[in-house]
Amino acid sequence: MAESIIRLENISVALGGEQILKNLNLNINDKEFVTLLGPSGCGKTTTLRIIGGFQRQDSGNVFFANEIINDLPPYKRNVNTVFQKYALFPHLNVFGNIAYGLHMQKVPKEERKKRKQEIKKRVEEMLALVNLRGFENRDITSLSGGQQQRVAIARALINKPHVLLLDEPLGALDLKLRKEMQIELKNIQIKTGITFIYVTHDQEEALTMSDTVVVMKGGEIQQIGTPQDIYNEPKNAFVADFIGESNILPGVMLEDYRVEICGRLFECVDKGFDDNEKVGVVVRPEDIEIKPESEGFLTGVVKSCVFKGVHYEMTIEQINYPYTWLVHSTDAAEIGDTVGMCFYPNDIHVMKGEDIDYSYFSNVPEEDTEE
Amino acid sequence: MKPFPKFRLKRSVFAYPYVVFAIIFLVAPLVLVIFYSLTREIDNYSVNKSSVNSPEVIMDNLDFIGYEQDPVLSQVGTYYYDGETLTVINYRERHPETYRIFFENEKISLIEEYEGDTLIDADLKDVKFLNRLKGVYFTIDNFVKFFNTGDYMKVFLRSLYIAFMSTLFCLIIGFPTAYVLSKMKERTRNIVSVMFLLPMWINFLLRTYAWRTLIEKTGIINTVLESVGLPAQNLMYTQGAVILVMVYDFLPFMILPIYNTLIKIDRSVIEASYDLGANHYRTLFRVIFPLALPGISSGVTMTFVPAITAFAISKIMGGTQCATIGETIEREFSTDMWFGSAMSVIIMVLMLASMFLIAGGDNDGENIGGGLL
Ligand SMILES: Nc1ncnc2c1ncn2[C@@H]1O[C@H](COP(=O)(O)OP(=O)(O)OP(=O)(O)O)[C@@H](O)[C@H]1O
Ligand SMILES: [Mg+2]
Repeated sequence: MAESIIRLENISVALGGEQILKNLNLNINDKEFVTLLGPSGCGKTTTLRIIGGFQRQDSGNVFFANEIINDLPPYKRNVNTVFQKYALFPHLNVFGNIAYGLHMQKVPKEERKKRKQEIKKRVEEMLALVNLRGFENRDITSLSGGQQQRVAIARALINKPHVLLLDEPLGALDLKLRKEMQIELKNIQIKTGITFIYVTHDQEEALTMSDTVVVMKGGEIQQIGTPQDIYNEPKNAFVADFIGESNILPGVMLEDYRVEICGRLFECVDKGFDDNEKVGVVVRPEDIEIKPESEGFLTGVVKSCVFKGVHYEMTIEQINYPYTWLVHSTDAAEIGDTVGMCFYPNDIHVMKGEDIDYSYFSNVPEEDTEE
Repeated sequence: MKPFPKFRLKRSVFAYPYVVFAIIFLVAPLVLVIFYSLTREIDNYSVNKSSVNSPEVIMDNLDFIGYEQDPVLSQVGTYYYDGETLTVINYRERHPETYRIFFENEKISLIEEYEGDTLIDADLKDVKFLNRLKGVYFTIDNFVKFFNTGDYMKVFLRSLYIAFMSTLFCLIIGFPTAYVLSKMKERTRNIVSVMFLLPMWINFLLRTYAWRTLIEKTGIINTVLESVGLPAQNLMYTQGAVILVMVYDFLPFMILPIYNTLIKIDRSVIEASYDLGANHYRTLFRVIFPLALPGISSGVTMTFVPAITAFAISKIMGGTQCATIGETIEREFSTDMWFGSAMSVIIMVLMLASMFLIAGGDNDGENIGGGLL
């Protein structure tokens, strides 16, 4: 069992009369890459601020290596932050910004001279790491958003903190650079063994980079798990929908391994529900195969078909049942065609779901209905 | 058909009226003062050519005798010259005075009183009229006078000291005040800042006199001291009194611009400093202070400049021993406009120099003024 480095225990925070975090419990292990994932305003930044020491919780405890650090000021925490809006020092140039953390470390007098050389070397290393060689003397204001973001990453990394908090650190980068930086950050994390707590609202980023994903909504944790768990076994409809566009529909669990959805009986791999319990069922759009009409379990009429690069995104209105399926398929289909759909037992994800509002997850986008 | 030609006004056209306005209201007085400082008025005595037919060519270009060289000649009158002596007939007294005049390079070089016969009987054929002309001439005499007269330098250095001390105290009091103010909750902050601004709505002469009644020999402070049995203090007419009132008067001008830059500092930048291991003091000196520099520099300018030119405060609180340069300029200007102008130009140049020194590294004009008002 890995060692716990950061633990949040029953953390509650209210700001401006609003409950931002509700009784949050979270354990983060040493050297882990943890991603907080959730829609805007769900309290991700607030959670990081609690860990960083910038926000005091109303109740609950923060542990660092199993010691309570509620009262430890930020500058005494072995935690560095890449801020959401960079928060670079406007009066210092790139070098000054990155070297700031090193300048703040106490150094014995005899080593002062050598220190200058060392700082220079370390800053250069950091600049190389974030692809900004030769930018030492540039003014912060003269950098592009993406360059500023990389300076912010370098500045937070140079102190070699035990835990690094990253608040949407790649938000301002273009797709290519973001992919590169994702790989780069992951490599840094593995190489240095720093625990990363990473905030994003990009589910793909969360899934590709993390060891553990924490899905949040409205100040509450919805699910904690590995990317595979989160993706394949979403605990509720919100997680399922947030992790990727999905078909979410009500079903009835007749008995173990047998579920009824849209008027048909399906085999599935889930068990442990009451007999005839009402459940929610998730079927990923890419798990649905398009077949000729006669070969499908379900039949439907293609309502729209949009090319998305890797695949076609289709909406298919089921015949005999009021549900419109979202399907990702590499084969195109003509609008108005009647096609068959099929999926297999391990593509059906069953979750507890009496209180799911299915209308919220309707797959019929407004623009498509007009066509 | 030819299209109707399009008239396009450049945007900058609309700026011209303001440029003209600026020239008239800002540049013109400045140019005048600089012009005055570099000139002196001359009382010009030239020989009137059209006068009696003269054999003396050398006198044609005779141009000037500064009246300072001989005050007598500044009198309004008629001047008769016979080649050797000059007779001045004062209009008022109608009493002739006679001088001997020496020439050098066609100019009058020396005048001395002539003790011989008066010129009343002189042969008027050879007499020329010396006409008095008003005018100005360029010279640096005004500046030379300032630097040569020890007293002025002394007064200047004293007011420099007073202004410096006032600014220093304003900064020492003003920065922490602005800092605390910027950290307050909005409501308390508004109340406190009104408390700081309220005195500014009272005429500053009244405020100065109010201080006078406080620290006068028979003032409130001394009365209290005596009633407690302590010896009365001699506070009035000291440099300390002048500095005290200046600090009181100019403090808001220090606090406001600093406060304005402080509240604009991004909270997350300060958090980033804590995050990187800087404690409160280090954050203050490494981040907050540098970021507040534009406000500090405009605050310093806005207290230092009025402090060095102020004359009413030193007059009321300092008496004669603490006369400041502003006071001296005011006095000189009323008697000798040219010298007074030179003095103010010197102060201005020194002030500009100090402002450049203060604003030194910070070249982005954006922040100059610290967003005051
Ligand atoms: N100082 C504050 N006063 C009042 N409300 C606040 C304050 N700070 C944050 N909030 C609110 O708390 C909620 C959570 O904010 P937070 O910044 O943690 O969101 P987030 O998950 O980081 O969102 P995003 O992805 O947009 O950055 C938001 O609704 C926000 O409006
Ligand atoms: Mg955020």
